[in-house]
Amino acid sequence: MIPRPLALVSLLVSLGACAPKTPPPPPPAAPIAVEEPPPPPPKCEALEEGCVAKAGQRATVHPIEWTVAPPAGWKYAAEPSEVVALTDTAALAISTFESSADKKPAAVKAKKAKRDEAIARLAEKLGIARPKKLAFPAKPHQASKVHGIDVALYQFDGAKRGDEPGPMLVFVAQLVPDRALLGLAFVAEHDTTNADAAVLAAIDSLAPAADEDGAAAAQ
Amino acid sequence: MTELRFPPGRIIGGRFTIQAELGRGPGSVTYRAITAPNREVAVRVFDPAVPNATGLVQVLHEAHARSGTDLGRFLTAIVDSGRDDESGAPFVVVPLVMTPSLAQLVALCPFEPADAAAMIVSLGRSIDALHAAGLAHLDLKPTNVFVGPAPDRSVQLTDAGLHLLHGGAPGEWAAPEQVGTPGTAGPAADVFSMALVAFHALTGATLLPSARVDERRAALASPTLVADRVRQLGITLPPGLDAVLARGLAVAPAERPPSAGAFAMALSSALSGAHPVEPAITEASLAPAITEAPPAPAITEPAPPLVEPEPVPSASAGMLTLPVPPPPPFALPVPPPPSALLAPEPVPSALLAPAASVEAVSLEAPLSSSSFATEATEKTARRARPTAFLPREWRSRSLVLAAGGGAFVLFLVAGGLALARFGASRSEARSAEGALASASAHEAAAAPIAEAPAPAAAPPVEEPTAVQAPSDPIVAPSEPVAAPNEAAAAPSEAPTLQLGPKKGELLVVCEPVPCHLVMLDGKPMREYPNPAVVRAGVHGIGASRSGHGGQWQQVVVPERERKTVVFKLTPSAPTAAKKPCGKFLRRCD
Repeated sequence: MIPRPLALVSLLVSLGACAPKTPPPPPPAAPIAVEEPPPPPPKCEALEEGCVAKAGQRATVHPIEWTVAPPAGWKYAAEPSEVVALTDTAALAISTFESSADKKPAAVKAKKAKRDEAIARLAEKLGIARPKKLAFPAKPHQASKVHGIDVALYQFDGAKRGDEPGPMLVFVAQLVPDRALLGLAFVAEHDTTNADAAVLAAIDSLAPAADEDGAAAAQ
Repeated sequence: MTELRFPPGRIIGGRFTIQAELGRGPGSVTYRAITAPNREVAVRVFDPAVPNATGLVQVLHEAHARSGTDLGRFLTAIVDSGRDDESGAPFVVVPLVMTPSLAQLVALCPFEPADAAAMIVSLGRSIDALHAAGLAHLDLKPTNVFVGPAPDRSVQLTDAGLHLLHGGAPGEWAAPEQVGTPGTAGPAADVFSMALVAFHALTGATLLPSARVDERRAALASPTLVADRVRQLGITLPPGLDAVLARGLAVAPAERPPSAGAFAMALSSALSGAHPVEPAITEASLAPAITEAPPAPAITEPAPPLVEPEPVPSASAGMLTLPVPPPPPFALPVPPPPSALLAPEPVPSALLAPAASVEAVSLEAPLSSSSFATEATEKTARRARPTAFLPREWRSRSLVLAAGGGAFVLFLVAGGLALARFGASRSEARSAEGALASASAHEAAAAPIAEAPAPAAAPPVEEPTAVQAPSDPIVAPSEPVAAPNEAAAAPSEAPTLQLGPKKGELLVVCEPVPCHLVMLDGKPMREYPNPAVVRAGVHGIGASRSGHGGQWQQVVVPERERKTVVFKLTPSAPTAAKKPCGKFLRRCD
């Protein structure tokens, strides 16, 4: 039997030995990763954005709100007044110009002037040196119907983009009574990527924005 | 000359839509055109500046129409004519000929003698038919002669009489009388042109050195014109041919053979190596034929042959038995000279052969008793006479029998010819193998000749000639075939090769790399790279190798000598990438 004082002392010693230590400072909280919002997808409204068209991707031609599927793999941009798509050996631009359905000579003359002005603008945009003489025949070289709209296609030889010669394609379609769609395309003669076929496929993909889904499904 | 250029799509005469330009000559342009119902034709548009061109076109059209449809076998007759409203240019429409022209064929390769003989006989028959119909061609030249396939080489002529609408001077194929006083030339001028055309077909070259009148006159005055030119070209012609050609090239029309058919037969005989059968042309026989032209009993006899005569190789006979259209130049009145329609120009009288001269040409054959033409005429008459006296039903039966018999004979002849050609091609193949063997022997003999046993090496040298001889029926009969032993004795390196007459050796060498394909006269040269035994004369040789492009040369192989032709091939510029044949709307696929 342990005497009472000794027991008390041992109790005290044991108590002192088991006294709780000062708790360590809590570890610094791990920095919580702040999830930044993903960068907004490029609007593809300028060629500098470097957007590359994927299959089925569509771009809107303003202000008529028609859309076109730029050739897959081409660098493209839906700029405010035109859709532009480029490769090293080919280029495509689609825009609109004021065009009245009036058949009077003066109106027709004005329409042609607007068209030529738009062609000049697109050619400059794409870096295409047009043929010296751009004589549009009375009858287009080819006419096709795209989404219920008659598209007139004209082909001109003797164009150049940089030092590369090649044919130039112009296509025109009267979409609404006061506005016509105008497209300009160029493919270098030495192109081996079938870029001209891709351009023709893009023209076939033209559709009103409202029917975009349908057009995409059709592709 | 007024510029005549009609773009595709332009409509002429309200019904002929221009498709493409076929050719352009002095004063005229020929277009391929289409007309309803989807029929392709050739439209020849003339310079409206030619005086009275529209009237001439009309006269020509009427003359062609009057000559009847039977002439269509020989002549692409004018089927339509008119005047273009917009440009005022007169035009004539002829059927589109699908066979190549003589000029195109000769540009590829001159004719072999056998082919040339067949072509010339057909040409003579065509010209005779033309003359019998009251037309003179007067613009005979290689571009106006369209030649069918072998072995017939049947000829179709174009542009008969159209020379007056060209508005230019007579060309290099014209007879002297066409140059001097236009309007006086008649059928004899066609004979003259025919001689030039025949020479061109055989040699690929023109006989007269220049188109200048004075130079032509000087050349024609030379009695050795043909021989000199042949020597200049370094070729040989069958013996006797130059004499026949010289007869056709006589400056005076009266000294030429009396008809194109007779001339053709003489040429054909000379080409076949036989003694040329020339119609006896003497002052006595010719003069009455031209001045009087008495009716020959065989022709005036009212017994037209009931069976359409088979094409006899005698052109004169063909001329006489040709179904002459309703206004024949013999019995019925000659159509009024077109000069009456086209006053005041005397041109159409030259355009259509003068009636007297047509009669003379047609009737003089029976007058020359020694000519083959007379014999053929008499044979034809003998064939025709018995049937003429038979009752009608007997006549029709004899007609059927004769037709059947004729068909059977034709069948036999055709079968025999086919067998002969088959045998000849086999012989040719064997000779080619022989040539290969001889070439190997030659190469081996570059080593000491003594090492190559002469009897073993030499026979292949001679074998091609010996075997090839039957394949060349024109040359074969007169060719002495060397015996193999004689050839064996000859050294293989001798400068003069032991070959038959009119034969030479051709060796094609491609440097620095061998050729993939060598063409000899339009056919693959099977002997390449070994020498080939060929006919001495002018040959066209093409050589090509993939990646190196192709080259072509025309060479003259001398008789009994070896001609070596070297093609230096250069690699073609590498193409970066194969590009499609068109873009956008002009894609090929």
